[in-house]
Amino acid sequence: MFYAKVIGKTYSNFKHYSYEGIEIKILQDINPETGDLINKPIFALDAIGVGIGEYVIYEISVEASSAFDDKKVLTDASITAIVDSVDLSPEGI
Amino acid sequence: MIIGKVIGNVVTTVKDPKYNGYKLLVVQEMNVYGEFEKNFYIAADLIGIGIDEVVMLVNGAAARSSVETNNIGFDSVVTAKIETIIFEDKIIKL
Repeated sequence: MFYAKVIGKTYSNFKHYSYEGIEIKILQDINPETGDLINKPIFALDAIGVGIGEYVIYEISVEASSAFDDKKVLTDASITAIVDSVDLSPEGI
Repeated sequence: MIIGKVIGNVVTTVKDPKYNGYKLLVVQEMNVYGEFEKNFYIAADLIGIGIDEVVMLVNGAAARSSVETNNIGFDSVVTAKIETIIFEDKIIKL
């Protein structure tokens, strides 16, 4: 699982039947020590309902479809939690 | 997941029998601004997409997580047509 910020969203009317009622959001990874945006933006399905600008956790690969319990959703990235705070050791690694 | 533009399709005669009935598309990756990247993918079409449309790709073992692709060895499938991206206060129509 990865820590990221929601930076955008997409609209799609023509999609796979398993995506009905699910929004596609744009995420970018966050460095938890500095808060900077890192890596390339990715696209992820929204399993919990998040807004633009929120800090979230997402999971990738096969496990991403298990975020949706009642159906087999064709996804390799899903948003599964909203982050309220992150505590880090003051000494660092 | 990534997005890309469909730039062509692939015709095959000798293939895995499970591929029968699925169109194979050539997709060039795009970034969130709608600009082309360097990567190309051959992806199976599950929804019926034409050339020059911007689509979303699911890659890796997760491509087998739907009911119809469960037993087929696809590792890249097209799952949605992307029409609009809202990003950094800009609305990008594709």
